[in-house]
Amino acid sequence: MTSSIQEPSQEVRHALKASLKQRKGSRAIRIIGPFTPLALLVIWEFASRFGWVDARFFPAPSSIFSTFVELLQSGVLMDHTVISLVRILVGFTLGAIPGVLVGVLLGSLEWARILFEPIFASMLPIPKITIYPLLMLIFGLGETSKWLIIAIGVFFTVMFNTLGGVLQTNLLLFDVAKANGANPWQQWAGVALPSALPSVFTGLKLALGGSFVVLAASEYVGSQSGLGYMIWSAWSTFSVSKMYVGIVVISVLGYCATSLVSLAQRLLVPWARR
Amino acid sequence: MSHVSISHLWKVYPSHHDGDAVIALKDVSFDIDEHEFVCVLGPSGCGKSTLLRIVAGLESADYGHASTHGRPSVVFQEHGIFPWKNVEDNISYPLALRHAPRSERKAVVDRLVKMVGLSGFERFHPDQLSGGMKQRVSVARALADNGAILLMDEPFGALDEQTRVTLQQELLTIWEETRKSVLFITHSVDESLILADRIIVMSGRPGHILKDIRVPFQRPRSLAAIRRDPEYARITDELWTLLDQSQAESEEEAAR
Ligand SMILES: Nc1ncnc2c1ncn2[C@@H]1O[C@H](COP(=O)(O)OP(=O)(O)OP(=O)(O)O)[C@@H](O)[C@H]1O
Ligand SMILES: [Mg+2]
Repeated sequence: MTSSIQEPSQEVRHALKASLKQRKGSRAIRIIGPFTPLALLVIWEFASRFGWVDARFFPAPSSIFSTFVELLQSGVLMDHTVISLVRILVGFTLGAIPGVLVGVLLGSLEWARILFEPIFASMLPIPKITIYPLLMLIFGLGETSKWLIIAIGVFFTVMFNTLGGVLQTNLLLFDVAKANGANPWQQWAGVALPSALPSVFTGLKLALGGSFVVLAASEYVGSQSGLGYMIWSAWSTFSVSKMYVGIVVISVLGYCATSLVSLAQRLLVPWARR
Repeated sequence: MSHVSISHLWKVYPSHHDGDAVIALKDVSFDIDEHEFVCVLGPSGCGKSTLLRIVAGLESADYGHASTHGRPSVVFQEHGIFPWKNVEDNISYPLALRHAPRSERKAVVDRLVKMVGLSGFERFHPDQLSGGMKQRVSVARALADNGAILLMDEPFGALDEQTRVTLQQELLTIWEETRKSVLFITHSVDESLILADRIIVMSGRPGHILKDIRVPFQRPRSLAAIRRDPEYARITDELWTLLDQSQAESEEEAAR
């Protein structure tokens, strides 16, 4: 189309390339970047073996790894992991769905917002884990109390993020919908929801991260199973490597879960990425 | 038969800093006949958008009323295209709302994309478009809606001179074919002279009608042709005098 335009001269091309390179950062540093955690592990390994740090608290990564393999082979690790994952899954779903619905509702209906937002806002600052003992009294030590405590935390995060998203909607877009004869449902599904989606996903990611914290805490006290229990029981038997295995597994699970939500976000909300 | 009738419209907005309300529209009355192209010309802030939003039914008047005979299609001043829809889906939005068949949507999009010069950008999202391109998408969307009345709020304001002239001609061509009633808001004297059958000149705040001028030029029009017309200089002069007067009025208003 624009083939008549002259190609940039040698000098200009050099300048452009140099500028691009500068923006990318030095190549060597970019290659090394992802591997610095490995270097840390190596340093840790040596530090632990040569006694620069107390090996009772900081066992060498290699010994943590062999504990990991042991726990894996005995099936113990898998059992705890599955139990924890199910708790997250159920609790997260129980919290996220009402969170989105209530958030959109409060965002769309001014009277509902005026009446009910203060209730939620006043409960927001309560550290959710503090009501776990109450839940255990009411629902016992079983799964229900754990699902609920995770769900409650998730609900608040998702609800307030969704609400914020709906309130941020460009009002002009509602006018466009109305001017084109969109009915209330089409306005809701076609304007309010897509406008709120980026914030909904922000809420979901934050909530998911938070739910792993709540999970671990609830398994510390009220449980004989799950990764939190595994970490806690390792403390009482002073098997520090096992503790580290639990920490690492929970972190990796949390990371993977959040990445999954990010992936869903990229697929469902592509316009918010750019 | 009048297609748009506006009678004794008043609109006030509460002002934020002091108790005084802002009078946006002061007793505005005029009609637009079937097939008539009417431009509203006036300085910034005089209530042109407010007027259009009331006619579109998006805002209520505080006194008086506006009615339309037939469904209006609206081009908003700030384009208002959906960030999550690509060019194609933005343009066919009105058709999608009506569950128009895919083939019809495609035909309409193809024609309009070409008309507003966005061929090749059908799959682009708004954040990949320039300001003028977004404005063109919103014009195409209103044309896709194809209501009996077109309400356009400075649709070509954000465009470069060349594109503006092209789109003005396209709009005129469409209008010659369809003879819709048009309410077209602008602050460009030349634009109103090329497009309008009638020009309603509004004063600065509080916005009221200073004059309702009939534009005598033959159609089809081009800027070159109307500039040769001896009437051109006279009407241009008259419009500028009115605009200067409206500017002075609103400054007086501000000083008080
Ligand atoms: N929602 C609102 N709340 C308060 N004041 C408003 C509101 N909308 C418009 N106004 C006021 O009404 C007056 C007219 O605004 P309007 O947008 O109709 O002007 P306009 O003629 O379209 O101007 P421009 O040519 O700059 O687009 C302005 O003084 C503006 O401050
Ligand atoms: Mg305006």
